[in-house]
Amino acid sequence: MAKHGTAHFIAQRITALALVPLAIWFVFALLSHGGDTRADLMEWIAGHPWSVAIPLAMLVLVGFYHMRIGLEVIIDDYIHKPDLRGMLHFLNTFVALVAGAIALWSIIAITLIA
Amino acid sequence: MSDQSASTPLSPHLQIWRWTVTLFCSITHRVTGMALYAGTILLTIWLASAATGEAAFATVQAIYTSPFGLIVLFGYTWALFFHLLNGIRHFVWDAGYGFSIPASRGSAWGVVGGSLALTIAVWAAVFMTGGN
Repeated sequence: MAKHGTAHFIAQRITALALVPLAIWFVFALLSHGGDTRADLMEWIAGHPWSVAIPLAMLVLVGFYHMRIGLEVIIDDYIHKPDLRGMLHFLNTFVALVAGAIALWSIIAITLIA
Repeated sequence: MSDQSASTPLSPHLQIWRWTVTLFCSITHRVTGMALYAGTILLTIWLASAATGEAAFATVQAIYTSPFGLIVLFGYTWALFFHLLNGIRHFVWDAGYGFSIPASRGSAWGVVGGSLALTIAVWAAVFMTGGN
């Protein structure tokens, strides 16, 4: 997002703000469900769409977006060769999109299977 | 670059600056940000394995609860708390407060100590309840 500094700054802050409660919720949720069996984990996600499945989906989607734009700044700051920088920007977007898609698909699949 | 550095000054980098807790928090915010990227991919793999099947989930769970896996998850927990607390510190700056040297130094120590305390508390709870 070079030359779009203000929009970048605002997107970074809004996603950060959303991630504060989501991250705190996630740590506490994992305390009770990190050691779940597969059946328990699936029942927990599928059985609580509003309080588990959707916050979890928001955590990974907002999280990967926040990480993509955060890493973008780090790449811009430290990688000076234009070709390499362009390639890393592409890779960053690609990984964030694929990982976000897999996580979202997993949550939906768990909801449908369970 | 080598003949250029002999004639023109270059901006000092990490190895030049005297280490302070505020410098530590600044660079560690970026390092933990990158670590969380990797950690969230671990979360994605965990969810995908649960969606895939019993065998896939058992494999991932075995790797994550191995001694090496637990060390990685402990590091992930600390990275999350550090980035969370230091991110809140950035919000306070965004609102226009906490810029004095004592305040920024104090909040930096608060982030370091707070993130360590919260990480230890979470993992103490994990082991006491036998969660993992």
